[in-house]
Amino acid sequence: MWLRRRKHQNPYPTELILNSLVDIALCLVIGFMIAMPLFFETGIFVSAPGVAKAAPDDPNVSDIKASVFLSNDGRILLNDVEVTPERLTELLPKLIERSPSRRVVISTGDQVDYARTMRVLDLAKQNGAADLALLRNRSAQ
Amino acid sequence: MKPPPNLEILPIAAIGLTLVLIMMVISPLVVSQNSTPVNLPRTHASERKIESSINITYTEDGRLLLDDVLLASLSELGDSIVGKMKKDPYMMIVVRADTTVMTWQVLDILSTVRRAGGLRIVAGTKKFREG
Repeated sequence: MWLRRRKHQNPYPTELILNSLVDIALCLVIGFMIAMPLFFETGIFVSAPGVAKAAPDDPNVSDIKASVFLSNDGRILLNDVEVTPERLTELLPKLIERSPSRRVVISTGDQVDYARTMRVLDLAKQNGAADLALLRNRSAQ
Repeated sequence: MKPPPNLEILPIAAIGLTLVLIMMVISPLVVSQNSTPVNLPRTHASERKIESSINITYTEDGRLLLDDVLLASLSELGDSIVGKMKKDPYMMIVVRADTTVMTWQVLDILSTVRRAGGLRIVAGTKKFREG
Protein backbone atom coordinates (compact mmCIF):
# COMPACT_ATOMS: atom_id res chain seq x y z
CA MET A 1 0.00 0.00 0.00
CA TRP A 2 1.32 3.43 -0.86
CA LEU A 3 0.25 4.81 2.52
CA ARG A 4 2.33 2.26 4.30
CA ARG A 5 4.77 3.89 6.70
CA ARG A 6 8.25 3.73 5.41
CA LYS A 7 10.82 2.37 7.71
CA HIS A 8 12.60 5.29 9.35
CA GLN A 9 16.19 5.62 8.24
CA ASN A 10 18.67 8.02 9.81
CA PRO A 11 20.20 9.99 6.97
CA TYR A 12 23.31 10.77 9.08
CA PRO A 13 25.92 8.18 9.94
CA THR A 14 25.98 7.28 13.60
CA GLU A 15 29.79 7.31 13.82
CA LEU A 16 31.38 10.51 15.05
CA ILE A 17 33.58 12.05 12.39
CA LEU A 18 36.69 13.15 14.20
CA ASN A 19 39.00 13.69 11.29
CA SER A 20 38.55 17.44 11.08
CA LEU A 21 38.72 17.77 14.86
CA VAL A 22 41.99 15.87 14.95
CA ASP A 23 43.36 18.00 12.15
CA ILE A 24 42.54 21.20 13.99
CA ALA A 25 43.89 19.91 17.31
CA LEU A 26 47.15 18.76 15.79
CA CYS A 27 47.55 22.02 13.89
CA LEU A 28 47.07 23.90 17.16
CA VAL A 29 49.61 21.70 18.92
CA ILE A 30 52.17 22.27 16.17
CA GLY A 31 51.42 26.00 16.19
CA PHE A 32 51.93 26.18 19.94
CA MET A 33 55.10 24.12 19.79
CA ILE A 34 56.58 26.49 17.24
CA ALA A 35 55.40 29.64 18.97
CA MET A 36 56.19 28.76 22.59
CA PRO A 37 59.99 29.18 22.40
CA LEU A 38 59.38 32.71 21.13
CA PHE A 39 57.32 33.54 24.22
CA PHE A 40 59.60 31.84 26.70
CA GLU A 41 62.25 33.92 28.29
CA THR A 42 65.20 32.06 29.65
CA GLY A 43 68.26 33.28 31.45
CA ILE A 44 71.77 32.64 32.65
CA PHE A 45 72.77 32.71 36.29
CA VAL A 46 75.46 35.27 36.94
CA SER A 47 77.52 36.34 39.90
CA ALA A 48 76.94 39.96 40.69
CA PRO A 49 79.93 42.30 40.75
CA GLY A 50 80.05 42.29 44.53
CA VAL A 51 80.51 38.55 44.60
CA ALA A 52 83.29 38.58 42.06
CA LYS A 53 85.20 41.26 43.91
CA ALA A 54 84.75 39.63 47.25
CA ALA A 55 86.10 36.26 46.20
CA PRO A 56 89.83 36.26 46.89
CA ASP A 57 92.26 34.03 45.06
CA ASP A 58 93.21 31.11 47.23
CA PRO A 59 96.99 30.68 47.01
CA ASN A 60 96.69 27.03 47.99
CA VAL A 61 94.52 26.18 45.04
CA SER A 62 96.12 26.14 41.65
CA ASP A 63 93.46 27.23 39.24
CA ILE A 64 93.59 28.24 35.64
CA LYS A 65 91.89 31.54 35.28
CA ALA A 66 89.63 32.45 32.43
CA SER A 67 89.44 36.18 32.47
CA VAL A 68 87.95 37.99 29.49
CA PHE A 69 88.14 41.72 29.02
CA LEU A 70 86.11 43.51 26.36
CA SER A 71 87.54 46.87 25.50
CA ASN A 72 85.67 49.87 24.18
CA ASP A 73 87.49 49.69 20.85
CA GLY A 74 86.33 46.13 20.17
CA ARG A 75 89.43 44.25 21.31
CA ILE A 76 89.16 41.09 23.37
CA LEU A 77 91.77 40.19 25.96
CA LEU A 78 91.86 36.66 27.27
CA ASN A 79 94.05 36.52 30.38
CA ASP A 80 95.63 39.79 29.30
CA VAL A 81 96.48 38.52 25.83
CA GLU A 82 94.68 39.99 22.86
CA VAL A 83 92.72 37.41 20.89
CA THR A 84 90.36 37.43 17.97
CA PRO A 85 86.74 36.36 18.52
CA GLU A 86 87.49 33.11 16.66
CA ARG A 87 90.52 32.43 18.83
CA LEU A 88 88.45 33.17 21.93
CA THR A 89 85.94 30.58 20.78
CA GLU A 90 88.78 28.07 20.51
CA LEU A 91 90.64 28.89 23.71
CA LEU A 92 87.87 29.59 26.19
CA PRO A 93 86.51 26.00 26.20
CA LYS A 94 90.04 24.69 26.78
CA LEU A 95 90.58 27.02 29.70
CA ILE A 96 87.22 26.15 31.25
CA GLU A 97 87.92 22.48 30.79
CA ARG A 98 91.17 22.75 32.75
CA SER A 99 89.80 24.97 35.48
CA PRO A 100 88.52 23.14 38.61
CA SER A 101 86.24 26.00 39.59
CA ARG A 102 85.05 26.55 36.01
CA ARG A 103 84.81 30.22 36.70
CA VAL A 104 84.89 32.80 33.96
CA VAL A 105 85.39 36.43 34.86
CA ILE A 106 84.15 38.93 32.32
CA SER A 107 84.99 42.59 32.60
CA THR A 108 84.24 45.34 30.15
CA GLY A 109 85.07 48.90 29.33
CA ASP A 110 82.52 51.59 30.06
CA GLN A 111 81.29 51.83 26.48
CA VAL A 112 80.65 48.17 25.80
CA ASP A 113 77.06 47.32 25.09
CA TYR A 114 75.21 44.60 26.92
CA ALA A 115 74.67 42.46 23.82
CA ARG A 116 78.41 42.08 23.30
CA THR A 117 78.95 41.08 26.92
CA MET A 118 76.14 38.57 26.71
CA ARG A 119 77.67 36.95 23.63
CA VAL A 120 80.82 36.16 25.62
CA LEU A 121 78.72 35.08 28.58
CA ASP A 122 76.78 32.76 26.31
CA LEU A 123 79.95 31.34 24.84
CA ALA A 124 81.32 30.61 28.31
CA LYS A 125 78.08 29.05 29.45
CA GLN A 126 77.86 26.86 26.37
CA ASN A 127 81.33 25.55 27.12
CA GLY A 128 80.54 24.51 30.64
CA ALA A 129 81.37 27.53 32.78
CA ALA A 130 79.88 26.97 36.21
CA ASP A 131 80.33 30.45 37.57
CA LEU A 132 80.07 33.56 35.49
CA ALA A 133 81.32 36.65 37.24
CA LEU A 134 80.81 40.10 35.83
CA LEU A 135 83.18 42.87 36.84
CA ARG A 136 82.55 46.55 36.52
CA ASN A 137 85.89 47.40 34.97
CA ARG A 138 89.32 46.02 34.55
CA SER A 139 90.76 47.69 37.61
CA ALA A 140 88.47 45.54 39.71
CA GLN A 141 90.54 42.54 38.78
CA MET B 1 35.61 -8.32 0.28
CA LYS B 2 37.67 -7.20 3.24
CA PRO B 3 36.11 -4.59 5.54
CA PRO B 4 37.88 -1.22 5.70
CA PRO B 5 40.46 -0.97 8.50
CA ASN B 6 39.09 0.64 11.60
CA LEU B 7 41.35 3.54 12.49
CA GLU B 8 41.12 4.56 16.15
CA ILE B 9 41.24 8.32 15.97
CA LEU B 10 39.63 8.99 19.33
CA PRO B 11 42.79 8.51 21.45
CA ILE B 12 44.78 10.75 19.10
CA ALA B 13 42.10 13.41 19.35
CA ALA B 14 42.06 13.12 23.12
CA ILE B 15 45.85 13.48 23.37
CA GLY B 16 45.89 16.37 20.92
CA LEU B 17 43.17 18.26 22.72
CA THR B 18 44.81 17.64 26.10
CA LEU B 19 48.09 19.05 24.80
CA VAL B 20 46.29 22.08 23.43
CA LEU B 21 44.59 22.66 26.76
CA ILE B 22 47.86 22.32 28.71
CA MET B 23 49.61 24.78 26.43
CA MET B 24 46.72 27.22 26.62
CA VAL B 25 46.91 27.12 30.41
CA ILE B 26 50.70 27.43 30.63
CA SER B 27 51.31 30.11 28.02
CA PRO B 28 49.56 33.02 29.83
CA LEU B 29 51.48 32.19 33.00
CA VAL B 30 54.73 32.39 31.10
CA VAL B 31 53.93 35.52 29.18
CA SER B 32 52.21 37.49 31.92
CA GLN B 33 55.36 37.80 34.05
CA ASN B 34 57.08 39.98 31.51
CA SER B 35 54.65 42.46 30.14
CA THR B 36 57.20 45.25 29.57
CA PRO B 37 58.66 44.65 26.14
CA VAL B 38 62.44 44.53 26.02
CA ASN B 39 64.76 43.40 23.29
CA LEU B 40 66.55 40.71 25.27
CA PRO B 41 69.89 39.29 24.19
CA ARG B 42 69.59 35.98 22.38
CA THR B 43 71.72 33.14 23.65
CA HIS B 44 72.17 29.47 22.93
CA ALA B 45 72.69 28.55 26.57
CA SER B 46 69.86 28.83 29.06
CA GLU B 47 69.39 27.46 32.53
CA ARG B 48 66.48 29.28 34.05
CA LYS B 49 63.56 27.24 35.27
CA ILE B 50 59.99 28.39 35.51
CA GLU B 51 59.49 29.56 39.05
CA SER B 52 58.28 32.65 40.81
CA SER B 53 60.76 35.44 40.42
CA ILE B 54 61.31 39.14 40.78
CA ASN B 55 61.60 40.77 37.39
CA ILE B 56 63.76 43.83 36.99
CA THR B 57 63.47 45.42 33.58
CA TYR B 58 65.81 48.02 32.13
CA THR B 59 64.54 49.40 28.87
CA GLU B 60 66.29 50.93 25.91
CA ASP B 61 65.19 54.43 26.97
CA GLY B 62 66.58 54.00 30.47
CA ARG B 63 63.41 53.19 32.40
CA LEU B 64 63.88 50.92 35.38
CA LEU B 65 60.93 48.73 36.36
CA LEU B 66 60.45 46.26 39.13
CA ASP B 67 57.71 43.78 38.30
CA ASP B 68 56.38 46.27 35.75
CA VAL B 69 56.29 49.13 38.27
CA LEU B 70 58.35 52.14 37.26
CA LEU B 71 61.09 53.08 39.70
CA ALA B 72 62.74 56.45 40.09
CA SER B 73 66.23 55.34 41.03
CA LEU B 74 68.52 52.47 41.87
CA SER B 75 68.20 53.19 45.58
CA GLU B 76 64.45 52.73 45.29
CA LEU B 77 65.15 49.41 43.58
CA GLY B 78 67.44 48.39 46.42
CA ASP B 79 64.81 49.24 49.05
CA SER B 80 62.14 47.29 47.18
CA ILE B 81 64.40 44.25 46.80
CA VAL B 82 65.25 44.30 50.51
CA GLY B 83 61.54 44.15 51.30
CA LYS B 84 60.97 41.25 48.92
CA MET B 85 64.04 39.35 50.10
CA LYS B 86 62.73 39.35 53.64
CA LYS B 87 59.85 37.16 52.50
CA ASP B 88 62.01 34.75 50.52
CA PRO B 89 65.79 35.24 50.48
CA TYR B 90 66.27 32.61 47.77
CA MET B 91 63.82 34.07 45.30
CA MET B 92 65.19 34.26 41.79
CA ILE B 93 65.83 37.76 40.49
CA VAL B 94 65.70 38.15 36.75
CA VAL B 95 67.40 41.19 35.27
CA ARG B 96 65.85 41.86 31.88
CA ALA B 97 68.03 44.44 30.17
CA ASP B 98 67.76 45.64 26.60
CA THR B 99 70.61 44.64 24.29
CA THR B 100 71.36 48.27 23.44
CA VAL B 101 72.11 49.43 26.98
CA MET B 102 75.65 49.66 28.26
CA THR B 103 77.08 46.83 30.31
CA TRP B 104 78.02 49.15 33.19
CA GLN B 105 74.36 50.15 33.53
CA VAL B 106 73.40 46.50 33.95
CA LEU B 107 76.29 46.03 36.38
CA ASP B 108 74.95 48.90 38.46
CA ILE B 109 71.64 47.07 38.71
CA LEU B 110 73.38 43.79 39.54
CA SER B 111 75.42 45.49 42.25
CA THR B 112 72.32 47.05 43.75
CA VAL B 113 70.52 43.72 43.75
CA ARG B 114 73.50 42.01 45.32
CA ARG B 115 73.82 44.66 48.03
CA ALA B 116 70.11 44.33 48.73
CA GLY B 117 70.60 40.65 49.49
CA GLY B 118 69.82 39.01 46.15
CA LEU B 119 71.49 35.61 45.94
CA ARG B 120 70.13 34.06 42.78
CA ILE B 121 70.53 36.52 39.96
CA VAL B 122 69.70 35.65 36.38
CA ALA B 123 70.48 37.67 33.28
CA GLY B 124 67.28 37.42 31.27
CA THR B 125 67.72 36.16 27.74
CA LYS B 126 65.76 34.66 24.92
CA LYS B 127 66.59 31.40 23.32
CA PHE B 128 68.42 31.85 20.06
CA ARG B 129 66.61 30.42 17.08
CA GLU B 130 68.76 29.12 14.27
CA GLY B 131 67.94 30.15 10.74
